[in-house]
Amino acid sequence: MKRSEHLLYLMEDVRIPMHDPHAPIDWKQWYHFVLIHPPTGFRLLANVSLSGIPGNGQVIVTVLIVDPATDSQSEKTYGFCNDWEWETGMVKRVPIRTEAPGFRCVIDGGNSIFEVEDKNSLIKLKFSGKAKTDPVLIPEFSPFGSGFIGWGLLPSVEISGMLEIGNRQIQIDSDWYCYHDQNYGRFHWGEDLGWIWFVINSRSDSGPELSLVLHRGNNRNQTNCGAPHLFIYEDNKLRKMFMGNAIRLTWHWNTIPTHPPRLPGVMAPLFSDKTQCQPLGMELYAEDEKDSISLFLESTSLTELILADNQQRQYTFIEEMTGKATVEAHLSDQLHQKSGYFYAEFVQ
Amino acid sequence: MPNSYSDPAEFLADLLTRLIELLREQGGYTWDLLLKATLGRTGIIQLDGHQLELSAETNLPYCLHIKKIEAPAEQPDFISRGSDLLAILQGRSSLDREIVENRIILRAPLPDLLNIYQVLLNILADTPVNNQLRVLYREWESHWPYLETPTSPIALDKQIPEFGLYIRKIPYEIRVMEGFVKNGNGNQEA
Repeated sequence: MKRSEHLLYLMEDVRIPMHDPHAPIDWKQWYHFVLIHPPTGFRLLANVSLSGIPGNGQVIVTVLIVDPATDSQSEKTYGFCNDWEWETGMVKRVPIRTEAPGFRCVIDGGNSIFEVEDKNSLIKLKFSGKAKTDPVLIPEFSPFGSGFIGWGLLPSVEISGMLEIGNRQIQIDSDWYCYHDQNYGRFHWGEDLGWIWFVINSRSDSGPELSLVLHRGNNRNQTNCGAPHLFIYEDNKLRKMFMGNAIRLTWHWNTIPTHPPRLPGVMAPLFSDKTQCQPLGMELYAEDEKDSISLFLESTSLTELILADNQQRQYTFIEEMTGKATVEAHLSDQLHQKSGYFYAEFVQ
Repeated sequence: MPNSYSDPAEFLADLLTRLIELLREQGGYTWDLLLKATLGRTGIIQLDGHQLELSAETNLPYCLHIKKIEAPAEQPDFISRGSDLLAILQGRSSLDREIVENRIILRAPLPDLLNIYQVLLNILADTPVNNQLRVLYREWESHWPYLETPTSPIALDKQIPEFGLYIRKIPYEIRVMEGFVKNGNGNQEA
C-alpha cells in the first residue's frame, strides 16, 4: 500500500510552478471526476481546471449533468462553468486545496472532496471520494501541440454525497461509479491538437464489474493519430491493456449539421451560430494473440465545451459525449457480455 | 451597488466609460469596429428601466459622452434587463436567442445593427485574453441591483435560438408539400 499512496500523491501533484511569477502562462492542469449511476443512467462531470499561474491565470470549475430519460421526460443536460481570476493563495499544494466563492476541492492522495454551488443554474454538488485502486500515470514524454501533456488516471473511487438540481435532491452513494483523472501540460488551446477519451462502466447481476478507459491523442480531424491505450479493469483491478495497432476505432456520424448545446461560459454565446455534425456512436475492436474485446458506444447526448487560449484568439472545441455502451470481452477464454454507460470526450 | 454611486444609472455610466477605456487601451480589431459602429452616432440605452444617452463625437480622438436621461425616452434604441444580459455573458443564453425572443430590443438601421452586433461579439471574444474585461463583468454582476436568480433549473438545450416560429405553426404536412421541409432521408427543415 505504501507504493500506492506514493503513486497517488505523485499523480495528483500540482505541476504548475505556482511560486515562479515569471513562469509561462500556457500551463494547464485539471482534475476530472466522472460519476455514473448505473441504475438510473445519470452521468455527471465535475472538473476544476487551473490555467496560467497565480496572479495571471484562472481557476475554472465546470459541472455537466446528463439527466436520463424517463417515461415522463426526455434526456436533459444541465451544467455551468464558473471562472475566477487565480489569486495567490487560492490553490495550495499539500494537500491540494482549491477554493473560490461557492467552491472547494481538496485532494489528499487517494482522498478527495468536491463541493460546489452555482446559484444561476441552481446546481449544488457535494461529494467525497476514496481511491479504490492504484492509479496509472502516463507522463509527458510525447509532444502535444507546441508543448506536452501528461496525465494520470484513477479508474475507481468510492464516493458519497449529494446532487441537487433545483428542488431535486439525488443521493450519491455506493451505487455510483466514479472515475477520476488528472491532466497537466503546456500547450495552447486552439492548436491543431486533440484527443479521444472515454470511460465505460458496465455492471450486471452476475460476473465482474468492468470499467474501460480509452485514450488516444490526435489532431483535430483525427487524420494524425498517436497510439491509443485501452485499459480494462475487472472489479477495480487492471486486468488487461491494449495499445497501438491492436485497437481499431470506427465513428458513425450523423450527416446533418446541428447546434449542439454548449456548456455555459462566455464562449458559448460567441459561437452560438456554429453548427456541426454529431456522432451517432463509436465502435471499437481490440485484439491480440490471447484476448479480444468489442465495444459499441451509442451517443445519446452531446454538449460542447469551448476553451479559449489566454494569449491569442484561438479556440478548442471539446465535445462531451455520453450514452449507452455494450461490451463483449473475451478475456482468457472467458466471455463477458455487458451493457452500461459511458462518458467520452473528443476534440473537433 | 457601491456606495460611491448615487443611483444605478451612474454606476452603469461609469462601467461603460471604463469599458471604452479598456478597449481603447487594448486597441486592435475590436477598437476599430467600435469606431466604425459609433463615430458620430447617438443612441439611448435602457437597462432595467435606467436610461443613458450615448453620444460619440464625429472626429478623433474618440470621445463618447454618456449622460443619464432624466425624462425617459419612449423608444430607446436598446432595451434589456440585467438578468438577460448576464445569461448571455454566462453562456446560458445567446445574443441571438435574447433578440429573437424579444428580451433584447434593438432599433437602428440594419448596417448599424450589424456593426453593433460585431462589436458585442468581439468584446466577448476578447474576454479570455483581457482579464480586465472579466473583472469588469464581475463587478457589474456583483453590484447591479436588479439581477434575478432563476427559479427553476434550465436545461442547456434552451440556449439555442428557435428561428422560424411563425412558419412552424403551419402543419408539417403542408410545409412538406410546399417544399419548406426536406422529406425522406434528410428530415432537415429548410
